[in-house]
Formats: sequence, structure tokens, C-alpha cells
Amino acid sequence: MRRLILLCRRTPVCGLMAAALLLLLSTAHASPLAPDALREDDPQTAEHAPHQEHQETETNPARRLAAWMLITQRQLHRDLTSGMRDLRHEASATNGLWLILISFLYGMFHAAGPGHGKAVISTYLLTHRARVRRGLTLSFAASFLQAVTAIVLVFGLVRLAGWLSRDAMQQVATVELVSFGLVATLGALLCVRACRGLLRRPVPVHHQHPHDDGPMVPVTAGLSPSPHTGGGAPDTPQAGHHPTAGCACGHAHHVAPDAVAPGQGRWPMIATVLAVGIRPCTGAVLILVAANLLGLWTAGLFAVFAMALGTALTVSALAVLAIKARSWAVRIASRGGAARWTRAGDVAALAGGLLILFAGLSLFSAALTTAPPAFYRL
Amino acid sequence: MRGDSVTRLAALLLLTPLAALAHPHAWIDLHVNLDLDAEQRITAVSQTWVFDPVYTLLLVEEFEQELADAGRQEQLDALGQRMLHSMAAYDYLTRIRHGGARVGTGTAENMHIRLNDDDQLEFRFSLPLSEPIPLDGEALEYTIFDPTYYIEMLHPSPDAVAVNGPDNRCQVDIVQPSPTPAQIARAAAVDLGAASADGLGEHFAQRVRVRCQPTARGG
Repeated sequence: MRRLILLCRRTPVCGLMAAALLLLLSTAHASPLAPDALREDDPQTAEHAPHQEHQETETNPARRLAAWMLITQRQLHRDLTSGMRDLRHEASATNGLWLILISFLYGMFHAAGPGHGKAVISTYLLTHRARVRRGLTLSFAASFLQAVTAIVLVFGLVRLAGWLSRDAMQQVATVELVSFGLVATLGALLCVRACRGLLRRPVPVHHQHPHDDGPMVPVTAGLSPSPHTGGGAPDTPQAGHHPTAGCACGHAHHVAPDAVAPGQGRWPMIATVLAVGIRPCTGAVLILVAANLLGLWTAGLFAVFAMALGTALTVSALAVLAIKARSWAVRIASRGGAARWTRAGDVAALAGGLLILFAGLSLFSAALTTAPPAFYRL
Repeated sequence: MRGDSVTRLAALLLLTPLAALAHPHAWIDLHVNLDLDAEQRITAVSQTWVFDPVYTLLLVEEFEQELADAGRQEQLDALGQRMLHSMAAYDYLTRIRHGGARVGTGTAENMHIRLNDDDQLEFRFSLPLSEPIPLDGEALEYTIFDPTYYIEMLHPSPDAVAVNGPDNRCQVDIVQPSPTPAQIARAAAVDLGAASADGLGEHFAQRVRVRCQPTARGG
């Protein structure tokens, strides 16, 4: 643990960890502010608190941003539902294209917020070596799988099995549980993988300081400038370039980010896509259900894929950001000695795996324990 | 340390609570009449709720199946009755305050329900106050919201609130909601099943204040 803390102090990887952790917490953390506000009748909270909140509104930019998001979201949502209705009234190409455009924007906008899918992808990319192309593939595959899941869900339950649309929509929660379980599994697998990397690449290769991973630890592995493509290659220890750390090696060696973290197989990517993509976007389900009720099933399919495209673009942007952030961190870290970073790469991968595992487990248990909203009241 | 700041920037961007707002999933436009009696007392809050087109479809579908042989209006009436019935325990999602104290309400009456020209469900009812509230200068305040914020309920414009009475010297203020970024993040988390939705709606609700000039109370 001490080592971890030391490591954290020295490398920006800690910042990334914290970022990933907060990102996950922002989506996973369940904090009911008022467990039963409906019955709550306290004028203190009901009356005075909102007053104070309101006074802050004009001054706090975060609030203004939040308000803007609220309004935009509201507008998109309204445009989406009324666009559907307009198409039914007049099945013109204009109305069809309008619906598809709105769906696309809705997908883009909707994906900009916290959601476990983005959090998992970002955390994974922050803590694991990946190239931009992989990040993009990941984002697009996950987004389109979400669309397919939504289609399968609505088609199967409503069109084939004849369920009420509302009941079918509630099944999103069931599919969510599966998704959370997969997220936890992905995290656990990543942990195992990272641990194996850590064990295979022990710190004390040079014998003077067997239990010290401080600045004096010699380089043991991983300064290959060529990016690895296969799965096992990065585990091969290579001759160290710098027997002592602390030298100004940062400029001399451009360290490709790909070279200094555990290798990637195909399965973490597939697992990530599955874990994220198995959960359909509620907006997509809503569109399909409405399209079906209005007899516009095909239009609904187009709309949902347009939405997936929008989502994919936003998630891709986040993914690229995560990859770039990681590559910066690697570059900074390698100035202080590549050995530390090599190890940090493993530790980062482990931490990322733990975070994803934690997020999956907490989402899973929260989903089991949180009472569903009173859907049928109205 | 240029990279360090870039890392920080990246972290910041990733963390910025750009709210996805999976919640709410539906909306209702509110139109409210405050009914005054001859003595300038509020006796009832009459409400018209206009449901969004998709939510309308979902609600109507259910009664089309349940009462397949019935006429449209019969189906709608059954829907309206169920809504009133299930909301009774929740004070019809309406909270009224006067002088800092909660005002009691009775059972909703005069329910009307129809599909309007835009194929949206229009649901009307009148909610009587337990006892008439004299408008003696102290503001009356009400909020109407779905506590779980599954449905967003808002007055679309300032003239969505009207005071109906013989002698109307009242001023209506609609205070717009100003949820914190944390509350918005929570709304997003609700959709993941990761946060309880209960009580969330209050932070996204408008608060309507009605203040009337005191009148010389004629005997």
C-alpha cells in the first residue's frame, strides 16, 4: 500500500486513477438525499433550502451549465417525441430526415453525461495501453450493440410476445443487471491479468535493493519504441537503457505509450463491448416503443441507428481523450525512470480493473436494492 | 510540466458533470387555475395536465388492450380514474403551503380526460383545499411534481397559472427550478438503478407563489 502511495506521488497516473475513480463514483454512487421526500414535510428543507439554491444560480457557472444542459435535453426530448408524431401525420421525407437528425443529436448529447458505459470505457482506456483505433472501435461497437439490444428487446417483447410497451420498457432494468454483472466480470478479469503482469515482472531484478521501488530502481523492461500489436510481446523483459533513474532521459527517448503497459488481447475489448453494449439506451427503447405504437417501426429503426451513431461519436471523443491523457501521463512518468512507469502501468491496470470491478459490483447491488420508481402511478 | 496540465485538463473534462439526464422520461405541461370564492379565499386548485405524445401512447395502449371492446372515451375515463386513484395517497402530487405551513387538500373531483388535437392526453381535475385560505397578503405557494422525477411537470409559460375570482388583485410568480449539478448527476444515476429516485423531483420542480393584495374585508 505504501508503495502504491509513493507511486502515486511521483506519477500523474494517480491523477488519472482519481479521475477514473471519480468518474465511476459519479455514476455508481448511490446517495439518496431524501429517502422519502414525499412524506417529508419539513419547511426547513422544503422551503428554505431551495431559496438558497436559487440565489446561487446566477453566480455559479456550473449551475448555469447544468441549467443549459437541462433545457437542451428537454428540448431534444420534446423534439424527438413530437418528431415521431409529425412523421405519423405526414410521412414525408422531410419529417423522416428531421426525426433522424434529432435522434442523432439526442444520441450525441445524451452520451455526453455520466453513464456506466462511458465510465467503463474511459477507465479501461485510462488504465490500459490502447491505441486510438482500438478506442474508436470500442466506442462504436459498444454504441451500436446498445442499439441492437434495444431493437431485440422491443421487437421480442412487444412485437413478438405481445407485451405492453410499458412492461417491456421496465425490462431494461433486467438487462441492466446483466450489464452490471458483466462489468464486474470484466473488472475481475482485468485484475487477474494485471496481477499476472505484476508477478511476472517483479521489481527486484537487480539485486541491490530487493524491496525498494524508489527512484533508484533500475530499468527492467519495456522501453521498446515500437508499439506492440500482439498479446504477449510486452511481457518480454528488455535490456534497460538507464541503470539509474533521475537522469534526464525524458527527451532522449520518446516512449510510445503502447510499449509500457501490459499487452492487450482481444478479449478485454470484447468483454468491454459486451458489458457496455448489452444495456440498451432508454431513449432508444422509448423511440422504438413509440415508433411501434405509431406503426412506424422502420422509421424507428433508422432513428435508433442514428442515435447510436451520435452516441458513438461522443463516446469516441471521450475515448480519444482518455487515450491521450494516458499517453501524456506515460511520457511524464518516463522522465523519472521508465522502470517505475513499467510497473506503474501494471499498477494502473490493476487499479483500473479494481475500479471497474467495484463499479460493476456496486451498480449491481444498488440496482438490486433500489426500489423501482413508481412507474405505474400515472 | 505541460503534460501534467494536459492530464489535469483531460481529467477535468472527463469529470465535468455533463448531465445525461436519463431522467426524466416523460413530461407533463401544467395549467393551473386557483379558484377564489366571493371572500377572496382560495378554495381549490384546478389543474390541467397535458401529457407528452409518447407517454400518451403508452397510457392509452394499456387501456386499449384492457378495455378492448369499450369506446375511446370509456377507455380514457378508466385511465383517468386509475390515475386519480393511485395519486390520492400522494396528494395528487400537489403540495401547497401558506405562511410556511402545509395546506391540507381533499379528494380530487370534476375529472375530465380527453385526447386533444395534438394527440396528447389532457387530464383535468379540481383539488379542493381542506379549508379555504384567505389571501391576506401572505403568499400561497404550491409545487406540483413527480417525486421520482420520472415525469417532468412544468408550467410552460407564466400565463399557465390563473387566479379565478370576482375580485382578483393577485400576482403570480413562477420560480424556476435550479437543481445543483450534483442533483442532476443523481438524476442521471437513477437511470442506472444506482440512486433512489425518491424525492428527486422536488429539486426539478417549479414553485409557484401567489400573493394577493389585502382587500378591505366587507362584512
